[in-house]
Amino acid sequence: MHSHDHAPITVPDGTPGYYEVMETAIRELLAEKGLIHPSEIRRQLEVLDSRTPQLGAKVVARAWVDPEFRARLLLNGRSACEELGITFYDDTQLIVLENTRDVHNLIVCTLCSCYPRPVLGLPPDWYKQKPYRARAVKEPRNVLAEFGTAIPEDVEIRVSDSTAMVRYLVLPQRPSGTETWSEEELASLVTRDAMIGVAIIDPQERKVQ
Amino acid sequence: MIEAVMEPPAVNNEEEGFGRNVGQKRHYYRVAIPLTDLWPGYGGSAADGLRIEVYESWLERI
Repeated sequence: MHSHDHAPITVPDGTPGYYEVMETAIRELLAEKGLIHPSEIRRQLEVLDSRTPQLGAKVVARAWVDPEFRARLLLNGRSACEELGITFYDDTQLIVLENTRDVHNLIVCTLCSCYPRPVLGLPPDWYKQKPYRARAVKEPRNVLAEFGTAIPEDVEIRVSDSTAMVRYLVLPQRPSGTETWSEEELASLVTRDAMIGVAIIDPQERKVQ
Repeated sequence: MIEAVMEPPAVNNEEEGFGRNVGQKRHYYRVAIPLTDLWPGYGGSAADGLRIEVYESWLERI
């Protein structure tokens, strides 16, 4: 028994758009000039598609159980992730933003869809769409409330706009009552949205495995 | 308020995009701005803020 519907897969018809034509032209030119082999492009897509929020969850859980790792992660997110075998395939740095009792972090890319893809995979659609991008920097508390996340007034909200060189990852607060949990159990609590900062982690809502 | 200087220095995309200034590198700065300064009538806490990377050419010493 499966629950997805059987709507036919639709392929946009008609003339390809401007950017689609440009992408194809540049890709074919690069291949023709011998600068990039088509298999490298295929491989890169394969790498991009292999990344999921489970990698970020592993990083967060390690930071919760290992204070020295946590310190290295906050100092240099990229090299600490690399310690766990998570490779970075581009030139971006990673800044890890720690949520505390006093500060709640939220990430956005107002220009486009910059996202910590090496550790979270592809961004959710809402992250790429204009309402979130415009409103996260202007009325973050309302945006959070719409995600069901209430942040007390005495907690500072820090919105990080990742439009240039740096990608951000939120290190959520470890929920109370999880002191005896194993690293793997902790990782199972950490959700994508908590690492973007639109949610906080509630042990009662443990992820469905 | 400047919170951090991002290392390493990066190419100037605005010049580089037009084939000028090839290879010249400068820094991005992580700048902290209170949301109440950005948006008149901001409804949240006065402590809420934005962090954004701004390229050196857009900043001036005060």
